[in-house]
Amino acid sequence: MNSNADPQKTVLIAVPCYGSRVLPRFGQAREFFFAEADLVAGTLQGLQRRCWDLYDEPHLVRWLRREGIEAVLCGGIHPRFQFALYAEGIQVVWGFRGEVEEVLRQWLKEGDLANENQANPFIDETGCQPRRMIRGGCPRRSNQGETS
Amino acid sequence: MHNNPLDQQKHLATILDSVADGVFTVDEEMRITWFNRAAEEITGFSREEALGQSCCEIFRSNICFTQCPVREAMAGGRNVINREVDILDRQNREVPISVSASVLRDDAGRPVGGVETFRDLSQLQALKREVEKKYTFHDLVSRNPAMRRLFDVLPDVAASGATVLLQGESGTGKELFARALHDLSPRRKGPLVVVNCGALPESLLEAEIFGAKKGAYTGAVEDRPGRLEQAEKGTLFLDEIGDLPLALQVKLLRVLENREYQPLGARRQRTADVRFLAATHRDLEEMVDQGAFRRDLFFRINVVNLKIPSLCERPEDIPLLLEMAIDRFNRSYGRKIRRFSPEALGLLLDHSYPGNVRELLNLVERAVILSKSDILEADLLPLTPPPAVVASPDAGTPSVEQLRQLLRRHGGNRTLAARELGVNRTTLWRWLKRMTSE
Repeated sequence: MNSNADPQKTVLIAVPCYGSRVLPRFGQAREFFFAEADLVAGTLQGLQRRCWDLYDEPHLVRWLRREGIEAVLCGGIHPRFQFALYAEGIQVVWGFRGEVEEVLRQWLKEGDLANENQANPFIDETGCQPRRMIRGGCPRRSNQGETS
Repeated sequence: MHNNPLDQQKHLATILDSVADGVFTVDEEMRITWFNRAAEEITGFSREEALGQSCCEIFRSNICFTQCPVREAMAGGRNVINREVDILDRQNREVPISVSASVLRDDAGRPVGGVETFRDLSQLQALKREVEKKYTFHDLVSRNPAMRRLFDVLPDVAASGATVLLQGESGTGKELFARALHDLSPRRKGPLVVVNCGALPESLLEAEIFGAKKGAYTGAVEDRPGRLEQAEKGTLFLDEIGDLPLALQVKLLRVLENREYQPLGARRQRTADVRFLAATHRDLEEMVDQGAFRRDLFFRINVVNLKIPSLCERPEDIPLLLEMAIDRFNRSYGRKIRRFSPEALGLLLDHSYPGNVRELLNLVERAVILSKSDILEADLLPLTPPPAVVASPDAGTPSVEQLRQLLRRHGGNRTLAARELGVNRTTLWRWLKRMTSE
């Protein structure tokens, strides 16, 4: 099976927020925008505001996983949270500022989860980010002619 | 002189750009209006990126939304000084900084915003970690020469496989030494099993250490492995061995001599492949003289004797241990306690710690749990200040303990201690000489 062949079409992305802006620090987050995004078309399909209920699920990362989140887009994030999110299979892209919707649309238009500057601490030795989050598959593996 | 306002502004900008501390100002809506060069270097954001932005989006500190120093200064009209916080820089690296904030006022004295200065503490903290590492050995912390000598011999003792007797008052960390000895020994991959000989009655202790076969006593419905068996290929740590009943001392002696033992109700001897460590707070030699401890067992366990000094014998470790305790309980309870208030520190340094390191840790843990701020105050400590030492021809000479506390309070400075006592240095020297001869 070629796992690089069909990247997932839509993903659920969580953006920590205060008001309508991206929260500067992930660790302070209680409110999120959950965005359904089509990575192939680069479009935003839906956006809804959600509150993390600490009493229902005291572990933020587990709550995000339970909600089906596959990526987090945020301002700053402590490496501790980054590790915890990666361990749950959630991709992280950081360094954003501004209005959530604007940031998302801009990122979908231009961005990619495979950002060289935001290395996954669990990155494998080929230098690949988790493939399912990268539009068009992992370019490095494709270059190496992997056909598994 | 710069009479032109534009020149004045330029001159001020040059000054602010020359200082090593980060400086920025905000307007009443917390938008950055000035950002100096050091601020650029510490945060990684350029002046152009920062100006006009909400300061929380540039600083991304752990207290931006809860205890913002600038907001506090603007709300209360008072300066906030040296608050330690963590920020995330542009590269998402955590940077510890010390922050001071004040209100910014116009010519008429009306508040128009705030000013914050901040200093990068990364190097200072790295240095602190280096110093801590220097005085740390396998969870044991000390700068006391006697303790350092123990740390030095520990690897060799651990490698030897010899039976070790750890002697020290309750709470001095005998179990930590035992753990270090095990971790440094060739048996480190095996288990470290601890038995507290004083915690169980004699009838249960035998089965606990040596194990019991099914039917050995009422209620023994199945074979039960003892701690000796559990410690196979590892280390058995017999804590409070001074409390071991005489009858069991004979049985233990046999294991130590022949490596053989018999579980309760078993017909056959078993062989133990175990390294023994023992500890006690009692004076075993005195117990031997009184007939309460077997002489032959004493010699068997006393192959290497490590005497752990009590905390009052190593007062220089108290500040180090207090720092370590704050770090430990900050991690355990997710707190950000920075330090003790001078009054609280005074009380803790003057205390005699009959319960040793365990007591110190308990005091700090309690204070960390109860504290509402990032500074531990004296009222969180269940300690009372020691009575003032008064010396006069009528009052007689102060006690040994009073002199010890006094010297500790003055960091060993005899001139200051003598001044507080109202005596000259020679008199104090004479008292101290008498104290050491006692």
